[in-house]
Amino acid sequence: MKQMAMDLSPEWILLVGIALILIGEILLRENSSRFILGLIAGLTVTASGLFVILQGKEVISLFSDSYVSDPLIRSIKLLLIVGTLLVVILSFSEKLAAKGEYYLLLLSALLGAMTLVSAAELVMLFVSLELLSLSAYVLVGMHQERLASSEAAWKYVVYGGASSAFLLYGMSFFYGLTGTTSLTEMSGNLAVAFTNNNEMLLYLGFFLILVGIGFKIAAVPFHMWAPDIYQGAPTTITTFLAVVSKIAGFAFMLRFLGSLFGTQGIQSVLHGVVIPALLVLSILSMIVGNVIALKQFHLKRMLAYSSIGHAGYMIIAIITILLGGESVAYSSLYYYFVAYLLASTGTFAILQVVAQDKSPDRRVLSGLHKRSPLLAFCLSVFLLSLAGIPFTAGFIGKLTILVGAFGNSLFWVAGIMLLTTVISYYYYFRLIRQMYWQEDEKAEKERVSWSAGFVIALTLIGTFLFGIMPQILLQGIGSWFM
Amino acid sequence: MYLTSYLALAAILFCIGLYGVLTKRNAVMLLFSVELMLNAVNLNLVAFSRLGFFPNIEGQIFTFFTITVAAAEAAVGLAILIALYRKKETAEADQYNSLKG
Repeated sequence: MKQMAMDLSPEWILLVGIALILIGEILLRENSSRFILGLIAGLTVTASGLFVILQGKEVISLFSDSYVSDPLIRSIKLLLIVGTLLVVILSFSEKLAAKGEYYLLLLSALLGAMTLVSAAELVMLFVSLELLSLSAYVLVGMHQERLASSEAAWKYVVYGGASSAFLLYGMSFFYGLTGTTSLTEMSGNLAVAFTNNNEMLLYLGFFLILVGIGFKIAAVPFHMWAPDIYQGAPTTITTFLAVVSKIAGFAFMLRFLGSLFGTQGIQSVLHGVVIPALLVLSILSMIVGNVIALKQFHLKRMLAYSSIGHAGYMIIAIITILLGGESVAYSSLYYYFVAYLLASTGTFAILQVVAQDKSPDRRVLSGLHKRSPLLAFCLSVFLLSLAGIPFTAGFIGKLTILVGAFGNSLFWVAGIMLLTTVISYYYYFRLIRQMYWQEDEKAEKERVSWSAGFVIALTLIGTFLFGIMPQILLQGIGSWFM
Repeated sequence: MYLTSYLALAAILFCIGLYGVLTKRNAVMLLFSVELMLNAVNLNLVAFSRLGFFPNIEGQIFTFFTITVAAAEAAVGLAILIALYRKKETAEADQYNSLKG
């Protein structure tokens, strides 16, 4: 019992934090500051992260294998925690965080994401995914006085509900044909199910689940929700969706496909159906995301399409993991996650500072160089990292994925990745040009709150550090997790 | 075989739900259609757990979770719809079109 409490400690702590915030919200007066609740949220997330680190290399398996935690899973949990912590810090200066339930929902979404990463059982996967999604629906609609926010939340609920119905429908076929909800047992029974002349139902189940996962990670053709919701949601929540929710979705995808069709799975299905389907998703995401981003004026929409493109690159890394199943492929995906997390969070933090409450058009960046040279410099670095220019973390991330693709003879995909990266230069550089070469009548300096400044500084240091000395992170991942 | 007819019923329900999500204009009908899709899944799970190739209780337990979560999802959906209705004063989902690029 005591051991179980220790094994689950990161989740327990989040639960305690949620309870504390709930009590605090009741005790605090209507118009008093909610900063203390934010502080509690930040501290709980940090404590949870520390416990994840403390668990080290231990391999944990609880509740008859429905909850698994190993170093690999823990490394992703740490990313989710860092992402949420940055969002919490960023929220300190948001008007919206004047409500206690904001932090509460943020923590419950993180709790859902963390159990999602650890789940190895269909029921657990589904419930964690819904905990993450339901919290996110409300968070998107948090700006109650703004029409765009409510509308985005509504669209998210409808699209999200339909996609989880697809996911569940697929899961029900997998359950029915293998007779178990545990992923480990299922991978054993799957070979039998295939010989029973029921392949068609299993393929159907696989594609239905792919719809659900594709929605979560915003891969084309299931990306329609992303631009609207990124645009309507409060900027801090957009950051959360683009970073934490997306990484959790990828972890889910990796776990599901890896344990069912991984190295021990059925090779013919992996090569005949799973990999081609993923290739289609990846290629479509890269092309559609990057090409449509070209003609976006709204900054958040543009970043939404660019993050769809990034999802395409990450799927390539997933494919190399499924094909090779080695740690090198995993560390390339992880590196990309880190680079993407740092650059996206930094970009959205600057967007929050520059655009304040306005809906950010590309023109708000005009002349930023004159007004606040430092901000303009930081944003340029983040954009360069997203584009994948040398000396930033994004470059190393893209490079390792490309090397992995070449190693597995995926030449076509690697070519498309290079091509779409070049396309993406156009819209990233256009923003940089807007900042440095466009004039604007607005002359006053941007006011940067301490919390936004802190987040920007942290992500800037990370982007440079991991861009110039990639071995730090690569060796760190290698020695700690493998 | 019995199982096939249950699966067919579930598939029909799922398709009706999906059709509703794609075509209905009324926002409340949209939420109903999503519920219909989720209930098709419940039917599928229960049928598999009773008449499937490996009949066991896990499917029925799964159903309890999906029913609960679907209820929570409907509650959140309706709450958001009410917040939206107060500003837009219409429940026609195709009027919710202020977000576009």
